[in-house]
Amino acid sequence: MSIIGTRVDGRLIHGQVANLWVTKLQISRIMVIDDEVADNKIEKSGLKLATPSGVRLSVLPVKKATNNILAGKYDSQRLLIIVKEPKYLVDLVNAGVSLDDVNVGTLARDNASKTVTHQISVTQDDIDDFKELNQKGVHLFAQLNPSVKAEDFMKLLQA
Amino acid sequence: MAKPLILISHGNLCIELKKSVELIMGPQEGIQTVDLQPGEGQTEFLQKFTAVTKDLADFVVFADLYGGTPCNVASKLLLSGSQFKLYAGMNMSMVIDYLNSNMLDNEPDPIKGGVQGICDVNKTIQALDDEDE
Repeated sequence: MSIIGTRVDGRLIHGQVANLWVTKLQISRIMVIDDEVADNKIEKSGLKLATPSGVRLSVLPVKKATNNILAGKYDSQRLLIIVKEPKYLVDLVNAGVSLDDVNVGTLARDNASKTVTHQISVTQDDIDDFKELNQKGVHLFAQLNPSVKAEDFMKLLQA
Repeated sequence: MAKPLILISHGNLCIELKKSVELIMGPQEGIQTVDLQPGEGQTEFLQKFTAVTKDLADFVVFADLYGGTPCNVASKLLLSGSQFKLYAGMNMSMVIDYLNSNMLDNEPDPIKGGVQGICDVNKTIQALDDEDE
């Protein structure tokens, strides 16, 4: 199993991800999946700087990421997938990538239609994407760090 | 079992450093702080330090500055036979590395943890290697 963790995080790689989750999950490669970021040199270099030493980084558009994963390119590695938007996870799952659990970390939307927690606000598109992931058997949870309890994200979304 | 961590500093650095670390790592009940405020000296600091550590059998101390009063007071306790580990020059990376080592059941190495967070970012940018997909 190469995908150890999957996280939705509007900040992509930051303190909590680089220092905490990467260590906790013993990640060997972070994969940021985002069509726009993958096409932006400065964003990519910034992500590289924020990646802890000893951890590898891929920043890929969703098509390439899907192909690489399905081709087994990372099968011997411990992968942490990070996306800013849940739509990319829907694309992955629909293309046949199996995701068991997704941690919804921080998500701050300018045009949010719903505030879920202090750290998470979502658009209607996000809500539809999360529902689709849930229907396809992906377990969605919200947990900022391992010292707090993981909460069922779909329950939070319905509350 | 992780040893309790005591952060000691001039002013509020230790209190705020704990809060800053908690932003990333979540609530840290295992971290306590002893602050030296303006007008306080070795005597007051020793009282505060003793009050925090008196019930602890074994603990680790990070001090803000080697040679400063908080570190000096702690050093004197070591010289008088107290048993604890004392490191000076604490920073956020040192604290986070300590917590992560405990989480992974590794022996913490606070010097390494502190130094690895110090970095010439301009040089690092220049040394960024090629694409890795």
